[in-house]
Amino acid sequence: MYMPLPCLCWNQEQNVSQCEDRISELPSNLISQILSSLPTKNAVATSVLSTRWKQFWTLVTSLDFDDMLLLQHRSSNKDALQTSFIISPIYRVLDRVSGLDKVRLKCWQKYDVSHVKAWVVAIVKYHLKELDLFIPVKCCTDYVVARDLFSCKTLVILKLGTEFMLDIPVSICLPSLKILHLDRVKFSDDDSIKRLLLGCPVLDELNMNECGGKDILRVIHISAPVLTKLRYCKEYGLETEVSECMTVIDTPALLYLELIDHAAAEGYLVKNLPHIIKADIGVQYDRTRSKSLIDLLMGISKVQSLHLYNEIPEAVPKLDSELPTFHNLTSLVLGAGYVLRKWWLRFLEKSPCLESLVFKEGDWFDESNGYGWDEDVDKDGDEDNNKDNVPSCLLLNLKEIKFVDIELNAVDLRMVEYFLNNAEVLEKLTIEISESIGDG
Amino acid sequence: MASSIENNNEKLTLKSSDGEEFLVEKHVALQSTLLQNMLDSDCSSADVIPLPKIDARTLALVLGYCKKHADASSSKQGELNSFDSEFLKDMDMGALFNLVLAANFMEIKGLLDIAAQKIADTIKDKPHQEVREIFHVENDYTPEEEAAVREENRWAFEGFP
Repeated sequence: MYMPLPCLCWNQEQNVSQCEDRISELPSNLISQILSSLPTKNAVATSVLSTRWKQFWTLVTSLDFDDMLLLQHRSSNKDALQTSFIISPIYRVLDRVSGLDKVRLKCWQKYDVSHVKAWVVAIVKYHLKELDLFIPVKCCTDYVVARDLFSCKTLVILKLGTEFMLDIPVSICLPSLKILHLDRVKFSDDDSIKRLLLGCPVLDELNMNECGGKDILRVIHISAPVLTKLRYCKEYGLETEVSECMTVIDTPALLYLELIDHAAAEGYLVKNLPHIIKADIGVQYDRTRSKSLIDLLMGISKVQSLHLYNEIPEAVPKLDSELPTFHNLTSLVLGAGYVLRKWWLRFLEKSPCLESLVFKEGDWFDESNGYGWDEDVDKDGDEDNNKDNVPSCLLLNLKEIKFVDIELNAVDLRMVEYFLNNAEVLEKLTIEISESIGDG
Repeated sequence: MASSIENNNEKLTLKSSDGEEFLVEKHVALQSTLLQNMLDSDCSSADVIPLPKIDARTLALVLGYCKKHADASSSKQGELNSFDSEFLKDMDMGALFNLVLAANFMEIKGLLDIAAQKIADTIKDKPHQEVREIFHVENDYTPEEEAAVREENRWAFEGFP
């Protein structure tokens, strides 16, 4: 008869009992690793488990503070509480630990710039490999001076934010830095970003999210010799204001590019991308500056996989005469802006190796945009019946067409019919209706 | 699978603490820094390598992990991630400790990381009495001492019973 026992042996062969305290017997490097994988608050709280655990937490090599976790049990978020419940724990912990590899400080409350400065100074003296500071500041016109940070030779990953002015020293030396994320950081002048990148000779990944300048920046120069991944999301301007900023991208080793810009004016000078594999482009141009879009597409014309989800500026007269040929392009995703047949057809004509084509985003069949079958092309006569005018990728390579996340009843059947008639090697046509109604 | 096996189809024999022998392909064994260092030095792969701290059940698990990671191509990262999360799922605490110690001894960083994280996740956000029960940690504090420890880092105990 089965008798519930207070503890069961899991492995009788070895006679190792499950009720042994095995965690306390682990070697110190494992205790350190386990506690370093916890939020610092939880790690420190293990001191109450038993007398042996009283000091274990000081073995941590990684700190992870989140002020939400510290504040969530307080009834009030007054400044006085912040000081005693967030700022002092950080210093208490720093006082007790001996070596640190990694520090993450994630804040939701706003702090004085002086606190941020002090934390950076206190943290940087550990030869960190990874630092992630996300701190909104109270007065965002004050500079965060972090000279020591920009000469940290061990740093491999640096993530900085948010909404503060960053003073970039004249001389920067981050010889190990591979990953740099900047989130809504403001720079004092055009030269700051260039200087920062110059000091990061092995930088592999750069993510600049809505960074800007104290005044309006004129030129943002992203130049990095071994960078392979770039995500660049431009600062939101005022709704009516079109930023006059020019962005120069000069990254010869780049493989992945993502550009998001809600109001590009002077645009992008993209050069030197011989190895680019994948690009995601969501750049909204001012209607009058269509040339910039062509320049941008020229810059990425070696790409293999392309996602375009900007609107086409009305002023682009005829894409066909200026659009570059995408010789390597095998996968193309077109978003809302490419609804008109004259646009997507041009892209097909310029992409001879295309194997996969996706039309994405539910709102793009909106009637006010015009349907996917614009009339002016139809005026050119019965070109649909003439295979000479069918883009070569449809005859030779295009195997898969997908309509993703579109409204039911919004599929333009003339488009579907066109592909069914002309895509000679098509293997699969999928229509995914939004609200998960099903496949067509 | 075969594509990632190097031209030499060398195998080596590992012996667990309870005497069971495991024939392992060299590229699988190289997931372990310990074995890699042994092979790099003058240790012949013809010898049987004893692993006196690791029992057969644990070694079989470890080698399963190593084989999956050695055979997967770099493009299959997503597949490896789901393998990793399945690998430790439903594993009892005793087996998990054996595994973390084996990974530590054999220096298999990926396995060590996921096993340590699994233990950390078990501690996270649980009341201390529950953590003590799960890991069989005996509370040897006097009530006064325990109160003093809580007082010393009061901020860390906010919200915990």
